[in-house]
Amino acid sequence: MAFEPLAVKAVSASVTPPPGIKNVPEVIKLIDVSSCIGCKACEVACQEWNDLPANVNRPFFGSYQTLPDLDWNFWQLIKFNEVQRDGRFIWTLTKYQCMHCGDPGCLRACPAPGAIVQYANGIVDFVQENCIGCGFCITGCPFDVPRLSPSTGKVYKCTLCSDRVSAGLEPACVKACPTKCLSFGTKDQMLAQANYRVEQLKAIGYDKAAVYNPPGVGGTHAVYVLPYGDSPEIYGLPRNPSVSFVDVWKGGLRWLGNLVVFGGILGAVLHYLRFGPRRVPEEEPVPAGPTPRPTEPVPGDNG
Amino acid sequence: MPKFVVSQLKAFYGDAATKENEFAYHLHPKLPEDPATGRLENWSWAFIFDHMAQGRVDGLISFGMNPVNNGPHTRKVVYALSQLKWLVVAENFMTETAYFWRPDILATIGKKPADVKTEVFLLPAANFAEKSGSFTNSARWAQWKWKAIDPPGEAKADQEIVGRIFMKVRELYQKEGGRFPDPVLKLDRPYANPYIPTEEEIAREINGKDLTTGKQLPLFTALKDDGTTSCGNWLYCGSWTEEGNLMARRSLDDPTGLGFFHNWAFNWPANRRILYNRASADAQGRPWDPSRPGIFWDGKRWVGDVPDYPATAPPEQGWGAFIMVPEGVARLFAPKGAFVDGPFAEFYEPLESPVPNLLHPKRSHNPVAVVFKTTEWDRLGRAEEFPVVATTYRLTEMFHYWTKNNPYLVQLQPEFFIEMPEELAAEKGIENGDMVRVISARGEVRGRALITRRMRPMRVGDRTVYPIGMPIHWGFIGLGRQEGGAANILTPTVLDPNSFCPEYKGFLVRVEKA
Repeated sequence: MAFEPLAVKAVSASVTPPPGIKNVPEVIKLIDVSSCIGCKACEVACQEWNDLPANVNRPFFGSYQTLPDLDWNFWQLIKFNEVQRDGRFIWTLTKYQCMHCGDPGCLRACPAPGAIVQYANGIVDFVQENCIGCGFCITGCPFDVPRLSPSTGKVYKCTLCSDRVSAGLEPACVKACPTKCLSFGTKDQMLAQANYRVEQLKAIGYDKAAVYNPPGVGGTHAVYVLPYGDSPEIYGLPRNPSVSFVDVWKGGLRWLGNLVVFGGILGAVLHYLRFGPRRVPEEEPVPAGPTPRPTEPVPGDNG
Repeated sequence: MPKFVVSQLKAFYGDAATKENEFAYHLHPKLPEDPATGRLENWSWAFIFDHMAQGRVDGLISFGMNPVNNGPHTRKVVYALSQLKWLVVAENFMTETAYFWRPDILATIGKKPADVKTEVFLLPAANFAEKSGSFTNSARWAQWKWKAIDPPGEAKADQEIVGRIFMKVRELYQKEGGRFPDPVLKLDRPYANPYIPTEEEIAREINGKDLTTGKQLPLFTALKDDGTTSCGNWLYCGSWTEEGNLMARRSLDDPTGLGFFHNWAFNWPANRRILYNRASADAQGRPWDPSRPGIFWDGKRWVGDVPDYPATAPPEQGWGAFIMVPEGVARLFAPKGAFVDGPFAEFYEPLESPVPNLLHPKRSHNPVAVVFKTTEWDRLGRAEEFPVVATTYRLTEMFHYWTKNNPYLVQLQPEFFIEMPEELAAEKGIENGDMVRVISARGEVRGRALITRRMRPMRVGDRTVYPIGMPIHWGFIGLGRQEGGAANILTPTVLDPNSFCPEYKGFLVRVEKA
């Protein structure tokens, strides 16, 4: 959560429009894949800033990659893929984390009021105290990013350092990057920089270089420059991500849910009319004793 | 005697260095003479441990180094340390060198702690963030940095550790005398507290001063050979002048746009950013590339970077770009005696190579390379027994042998691994992530296989050669899995005959599934 409230654009499972009136510029984290050296300083900066524990005993699995995938306490990962293309061998070092979609599938899918917030600057943030741990956001995410913690029962992901950004700082990963592979700024600045970099790459022979900012999710606030822009898959990025299935579920198929809800109410009314009120036998005394409580989840499992 | 030497001797011995006593040159530490050849002995890195292995060294004080891991051939180094009477290690963390007597490390040379008589002291030292001082980068920029936090516990900055040891030794010499007390008794320590010199005092001393006026010297050109100037190291003369600490400059001003940043830190020598920058202009002083003029003659003076010669010397005077050679121009070959292996650059195979040198198969490797035969581990392997070519390298995630104590970096790279081509793995039945053994003529390590297409089999001559690679960052001590995966257990003690740089990067091994 932000240290100072950022202007809100959308809130999960909420019909009330946010009261924002300020004109807030959108922000973008730009990832220039062509200048990543795979040092993983961003991974460490992310963990340190967010007080996420290090696992010194993690298994080795035959790769330079730190973990096979993102985890509830590991919000960004450099993916190391070895691919062959046009007779050339390529080692694609690609930072992976929440994309902060313009049209976030997680937020659309979330049934818990206030558990997912989209700020006017474009950051999509999870508010763990409102999260019910249902995992719909995981299904709703076209990039497979959110992760459920088995110990807290809440879902976590990259916040784009909303706390730092609200204080006027760049995200921790950007600050740590030694090669300026990562940049952070307003949408206009970053897209201009991305396009300039694509032209530079084209000039040195990467004729398929492109900006990755997929329209199917309303554009993203983590934008890539890909030297082989026609093949986002080799970087571990989906070609045409979209939130259409969320639309079907929460838009097109909404009548089905309505039928279930209102049909149920209608049925209850009909049942009452037909059979009348239920006759309850006299209440039996309840034995005295402590009320059992559900076990509190323990936060901060160090894995 | 050159002015650089006289000024350095004045910095070392102060008033005890006089014209009459050749500025106390007799007190200065010197290499011993080899009575057999009459030449000075070699005490560069690998020779230090070779002399040590021969029992010629009583004690070693080791700062900021971990010889067991970073020298070539770990087992020889462990053996050499076991021949010492005493060992002092000043470090941030426990290291394999300070703990070379631990049973699992000594087991690599077939010894037990009871066999070793070396007395070992581990002194906790402040790390880079826990003291001020300067870093000099590979572009020769001396950049001042400031202490961020106090060192923990009893840890002390290096100069305090040296200061306290030195003052205690001096006290003993004063009390008890000795065979040659003067180098210790007459060393000049002009610090407010000789036990704890400050980084600033030492930096000023290295820059040097005019002893008649007491003022800091502006540049090494002001050095004199009559004993009226002192200077710890002429290269850094100009780093702390009367203007103050120029290493602490942080101006981002870069009028040429070429990245010189003349007012950022101090660049030895003379704040010159590019050595031999005269080569960027033609004979008339016009830049070869007018859009990027490194230095040029504007009719009155040289403009751009700091010139290697007088700034007002016109091009007609003919100052060459290569000021360190008498003819002033680049050389195609070295004069007689400059290199022991001849006047021309030449390609040689490593001492351990699976193939003959195609250029001259009868002289495959450098005939004057330094090869040791001191210990039973000074051995070279043959391709029949060790057919795989191995190399070692560093990872971006790690820094030498101490980031293995940082939990976040250990999570990034938790375990020693060996990179190998798919074809070699298939031949040996090795799956990605399997435990493998790598064996050279010197020793054996175990680590996980990382099978990759980044390493390809090479077709050399009539045979297929498999290369493998190992990062150097693991060992016996630290977080994560430290199970003796020290790559230098495998490397040979073979040295370049001119620079004495060890041949770490090409040697022969055998790979087996563990």
